Amino acid sequence: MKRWHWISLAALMAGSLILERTIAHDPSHASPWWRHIPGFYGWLGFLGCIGIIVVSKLLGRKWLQKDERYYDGK
Amino acid sequence: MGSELILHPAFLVLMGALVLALAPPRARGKVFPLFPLGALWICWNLSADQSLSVEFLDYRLSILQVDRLSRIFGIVFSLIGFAGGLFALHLRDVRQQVAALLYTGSALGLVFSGDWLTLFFFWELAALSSTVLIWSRRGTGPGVGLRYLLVHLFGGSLLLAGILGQVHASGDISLQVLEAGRWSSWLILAGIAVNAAIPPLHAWLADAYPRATVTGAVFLSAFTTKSAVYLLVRVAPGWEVLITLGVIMALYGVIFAVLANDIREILAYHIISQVGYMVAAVGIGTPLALNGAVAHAFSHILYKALLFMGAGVVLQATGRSRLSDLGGLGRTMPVTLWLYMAGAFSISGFPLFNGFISKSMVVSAALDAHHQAAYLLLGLASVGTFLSIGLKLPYFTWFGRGRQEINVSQSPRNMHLAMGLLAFLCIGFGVFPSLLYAELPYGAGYRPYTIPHLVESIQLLAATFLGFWWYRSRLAGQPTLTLDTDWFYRRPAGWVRRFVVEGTSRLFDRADAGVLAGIGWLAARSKNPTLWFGRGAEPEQAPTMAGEDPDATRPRLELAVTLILLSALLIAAAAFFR
Repeated sequence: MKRWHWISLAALMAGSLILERTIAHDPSHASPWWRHIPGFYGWLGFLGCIGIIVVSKLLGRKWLQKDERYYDGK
Repeated sequence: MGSELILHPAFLVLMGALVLALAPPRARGKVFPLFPLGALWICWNLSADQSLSVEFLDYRLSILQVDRLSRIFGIVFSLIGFAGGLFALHLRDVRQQVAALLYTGSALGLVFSGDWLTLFFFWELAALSSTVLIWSRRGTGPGVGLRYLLVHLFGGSLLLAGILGQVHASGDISLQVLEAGRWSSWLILAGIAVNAAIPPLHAWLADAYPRATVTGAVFLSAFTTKSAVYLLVRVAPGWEVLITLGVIMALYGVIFAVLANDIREILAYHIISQVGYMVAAVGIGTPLALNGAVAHAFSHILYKALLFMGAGVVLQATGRSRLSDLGGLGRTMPVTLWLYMAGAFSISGFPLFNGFISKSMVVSAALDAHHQAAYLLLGLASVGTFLSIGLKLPYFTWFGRGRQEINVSQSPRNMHLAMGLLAFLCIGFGVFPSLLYAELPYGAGYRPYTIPHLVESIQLLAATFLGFWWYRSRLAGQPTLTLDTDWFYRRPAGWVRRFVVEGTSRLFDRADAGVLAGIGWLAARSKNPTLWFGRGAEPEQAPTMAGEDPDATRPRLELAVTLILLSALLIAAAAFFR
């Protein structure tokens, strides 16, 4: 990742947050509780991503991951 | 009648399989894509309510029943048959080519079936022909194809039992929406669930697809699960249980894809995840949701075939498909990388790609129908999709640490051409969504490119990237196997084999050895009766006629004299007491 990659990512996030606050909500859809949390989808993405990795790896390590020849042996 | 059959897209393709088998070997690859292309032309020109039926026994089979739903599936199935044929243009394997055409033809026949019996015929033909695409891979034993076939035959039996119950109850073989509360409806649903890969009936998919041939996997990724989705839209719209199952599927695939090491296994688990969106949408059952299910199936077929092509090119060029064996291929395979990325951006729901215009339709429909939990969990699943398909897989295949020992061979140009065609379509439908929306079967307007939709997607995707970058070292492929529900038939299969086959044969071996030993024992005693009295040397092994030492079994003199005297005594006693 080069520096300009990070800068454009930050600009994209900032732009989306500004748009989220300024543009009126799309009236064709219902307005649930999470619309009032700033940057909700950002949090969902970040925490969701970490959560998925941690939960999957935990399940794998404790239970699901076996040696590749698991079914070949007796 | 015969002339009308030629205008049935499925029969054209099935006839193609016959023509291909008879064509000269060098021409087969080039002839292959012509048949799906012809079917595409027919499907495009089919008008709603067109139908064709034949008499069979006491039934009138409706082998062609066109409406907007079957037409759009027919179009995308023919399209992917053509793209797959282009991808396999270089192939010199008549078995695979014929199987792929039969499989394409059965998928087309299935979506245009107007009754349960015709549908069941094509359902089973698809299962048989697709098995050949798994068996044809060199170096894979027959086990995986056999498991795939058995699971599908089991699913087919459930479907058939349900169909028989349905026909018995209603006296009508035509395809109709299933009635809740009938056991036959649940059997049919279970049969469809096997093909739609709904957990816990899904494990065949992640077991078989990574082990199929490079070109076969492209066809497999398109037809079996999506024809099941088609059937769900047709017969089970609004069955609420499907919402729960769909959300479970979407997350299940995500979690297992994080653990998977084989690139095609990652893609396979994300078929389960993506089909989860469609199943959930069928369960929601509103016109917008059903349109979403159909649109997402359409988009999914295009980008998933593109992704499987990308992974197939990597496998073909390097002979490797495990993330733990790959890395740093971006410099040697730039075209494959960027064509793959078009599919990855699509499946992840990037704006301007076709996944965005269909996936957002499904999640919006969930919100509009007040299924808030489903909406949030499907959002979480799309985080996982971008994580595995858009970040983990390309990062550890094309970026990251290069490996000196990987030899990359040149890929045939037609493979990239097919990928280019699909990438073009993924972007084309993403930029001009109305091209797809105009063909959707249920009247429901939808606008994907609104500011809130764009804001949501940008935040979700950018934040997922941050999470990945922070934790990426944990995602490197590990050479392990992940247990799934196939454990329930693969592991006991070992025990059953040990008990029934090996146990029985050991029993036979022991009995055999016992009987032989007994015969040897008796034979020695028949030859030399003195052995009955425990005297004399028993030969260590069965006596042979030649080269044997006669003294070895000769009785001792005193024993012989005693025996003779004893016999004389007995004879005398018998004469005396008579």
